[in-house]
Amino acid sequence: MATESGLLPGVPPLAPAVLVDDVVQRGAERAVHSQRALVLRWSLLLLLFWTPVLILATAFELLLWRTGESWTISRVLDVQRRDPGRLFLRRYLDQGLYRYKFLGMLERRPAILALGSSRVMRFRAPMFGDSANFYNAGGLIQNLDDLESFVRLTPDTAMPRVIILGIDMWWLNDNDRSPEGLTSGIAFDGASSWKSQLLTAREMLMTRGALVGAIAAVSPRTGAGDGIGLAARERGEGFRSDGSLTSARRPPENADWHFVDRENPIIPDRIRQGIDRFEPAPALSLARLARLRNVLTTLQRRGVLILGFNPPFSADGAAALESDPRQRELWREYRTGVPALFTELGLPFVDASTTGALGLDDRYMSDGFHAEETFHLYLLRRFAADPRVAAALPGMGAAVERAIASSKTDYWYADFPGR
Amino acid sequence: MTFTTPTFLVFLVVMFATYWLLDRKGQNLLIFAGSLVFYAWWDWRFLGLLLLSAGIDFVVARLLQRTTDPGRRRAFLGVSLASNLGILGFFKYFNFFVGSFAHMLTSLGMHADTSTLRIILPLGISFYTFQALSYTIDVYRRQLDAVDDPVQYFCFIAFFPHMVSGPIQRATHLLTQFGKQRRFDESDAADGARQMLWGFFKKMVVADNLAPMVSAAYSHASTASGSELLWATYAFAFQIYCDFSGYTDIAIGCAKLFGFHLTRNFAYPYFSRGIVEFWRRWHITLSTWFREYLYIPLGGNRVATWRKHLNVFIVFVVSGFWHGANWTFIAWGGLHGFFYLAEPVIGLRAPSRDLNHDHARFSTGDLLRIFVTFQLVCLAWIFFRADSISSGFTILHRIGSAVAAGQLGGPPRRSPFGWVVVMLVVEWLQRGRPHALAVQSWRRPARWAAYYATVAAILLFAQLQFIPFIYFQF
Repeated sequence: MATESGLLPGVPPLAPAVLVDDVVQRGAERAVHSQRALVLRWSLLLLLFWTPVLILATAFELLLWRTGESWTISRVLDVQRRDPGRLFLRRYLDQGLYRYKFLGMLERRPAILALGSSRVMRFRAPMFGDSANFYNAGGLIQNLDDLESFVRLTPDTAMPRVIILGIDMWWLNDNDRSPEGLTSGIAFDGASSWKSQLLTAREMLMTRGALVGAIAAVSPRTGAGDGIGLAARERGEGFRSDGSLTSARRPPENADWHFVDRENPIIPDRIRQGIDRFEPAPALSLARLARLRNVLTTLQRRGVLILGFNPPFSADGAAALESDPRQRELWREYRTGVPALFTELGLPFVDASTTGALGLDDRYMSDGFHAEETFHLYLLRRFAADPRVAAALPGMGAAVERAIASSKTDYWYADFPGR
Repeated sequence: MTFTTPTFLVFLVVMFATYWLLDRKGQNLLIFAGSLVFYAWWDWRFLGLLLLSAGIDFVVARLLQRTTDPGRRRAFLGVSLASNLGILGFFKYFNFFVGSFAHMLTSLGMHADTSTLRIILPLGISFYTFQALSYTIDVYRRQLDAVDDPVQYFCFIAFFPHMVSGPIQRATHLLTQFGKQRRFDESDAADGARQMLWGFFKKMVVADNLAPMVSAAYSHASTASGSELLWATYAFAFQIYCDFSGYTDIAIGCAKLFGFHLTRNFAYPYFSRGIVEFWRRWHITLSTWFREYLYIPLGGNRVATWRKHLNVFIVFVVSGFWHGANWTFIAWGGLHGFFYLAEPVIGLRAPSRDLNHDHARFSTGDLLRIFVTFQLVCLAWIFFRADSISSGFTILHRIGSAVAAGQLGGPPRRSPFGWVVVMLVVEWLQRGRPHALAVQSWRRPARWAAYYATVAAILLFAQLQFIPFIYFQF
């Protein structure tokens, strides 16, 4: 570097050029070092600022992890495979139902599959005999779009031999605009999403007692169960390893029991208001019925026997559908058109659209449109009367009769090992 | 890559950590590479367009520098103008002109067999084109020497904090900074981080929480009530302010972390006491660009009064059109032009004060002027946000009918206006400072408490649904 020596502070006027270069070089290095020191100091201060936030976030994540709430679906399935007695139900983090049920089905490759919305979640493996390879995919199908995606996405190797399909009325309502959720739902796991984790943290912070409850759920002193997820631990309910759902609520017992619809808003109100799956429609959609037919014939071609049924409404719900002029025709055609389609295709079908259709009452319902386990025993008993079904599911009839006959079977829970 | 994603935070940390280990040339190269990655994250296919546009201007400026012949210089400038405005015109306005032409022929009773193209608008094209134009024009005017380092020039065009939505920088301001050694300044960096934090708050807590309410009303303009539309219009006024100024705060703050100073773009515009003042406080860099490169070349103030007014009006209409290829933006610009020119007539003009002394006391008259100005600005926002001119008039009519019938209700329950109030109070108290979180004079505990409160608000109340910055579409 050509520099006039006298211009630099601290350098003798007659210093050789080499020495000057050396000094300049050292000065530049010192400047760079002090610059880096400044950056480092500032970065450390920034880190210090964020430390409390990071500590809180880490503590929260550890707590969620201990409860199983933030386990990935793959891990949940893995643990349930090794320890089938453990229930899974998250409380705050996105449930990941699509992914849980679809991956669970692919993993187990069941011969018998219960398929539909949450209204088919109570079918259990023991209902089909001791050695039945059954899986409950209830919750996977919310509409016809989901059903079509299911048929498209399920490989032949995982396609079950028998599907018990619960068909909801709104699948055939042109005014139901619920979106297809299966395709994206399978790909999404809230446990791997920072947004879901943040939403969970927010909800827990805003919910009174949520954090205390979570701490209690992992404390050995409280005796909380070994469930996976906060709802499973706190309430002892959730999905069994066969995909079926168990709850911890007490069934009707005494004589003065009366039905309480736990849905919010209750089903009759939703029907009257024409909201939440009960959008008014003049009639059953023929286009949608044709799409259902396509799905059924596709499944038949792939060698699947489909057992169809209409999941039940409580007496109040059914009465509301009968009396509402905006729902009445759809309700009537749903109860005639769907069975007719199954008959036309040579497939078994049971109309279980009301509890009365099976000779039961609302004591078998836990809310306005969800029947409990025992109801499904009676439904399967009807199916078993069909020789095609009896041939396809040889162990089912005896298992169902045994459970119905048991004194330990109540209105909600059947007498099977492991509630 | 968007500022409000975790990806950007990771990118920023990596860039910052690497940047200060390098010398000036290394830093410029890093910014060059980082800006390419930043842009390609959105759509790598448009990198070529960005490089082509920047390349043409770099070469043209070098030729302008070497040539003294006025004719050739004009020709070179023409190449720059044609290429920049040609690219902008094709990608942004082609379909608009074809559609408008077809509509005009149809209304004259002629059949128009036209077809439009499915053109994707390249991100940030309006911003980087204007910035590139400012460079070649400044070199042409000999206000600036052309640079011989293409990396330095590209960094000026595509510096990642501001490339997508500004602030639009003049070459005389930013380009020269790339030619100098940057020194890390702790107080600058801290102020940058503070400004970014406030930007995130405005965007994620205020703007994004207002967005659904605005969309719900404006997408059903014909069925929404007048009251809903009125509140949605107020909501939009704050949404667009917090969205755009939030972006700007993040951009300016981010640049400070790398030792750069970008020009201020917003100066608390909703505290303006008139439309003229509003335009001194809103999107300052665009207003400055239009003044320098359109208003003054049109004659500026040195012409007859009627011509001056015409020039002002032209600038506002062009400014509206710059925002997007839709008549609604032209209407918005035209309305502002009208308000701007009418202001002295209706007596709204505020006493002239330096923006830097705005912490001075406001009189009752000032507060009234602020209120009226805000209403006028909101009136223009209706057309800016509406899908079409007719939709704008429908909204205006429904609001007017509701006002006339006395059917106006309060803001919807659970609406995010509470955050608007928080934002306004903080900005009012801090209006004498460059940004609302400029609290460097506070004691550390108070300062950190303010930061933690802002962080907590973002973590707990930010809208997590991804909502792109509004100005990305321009």
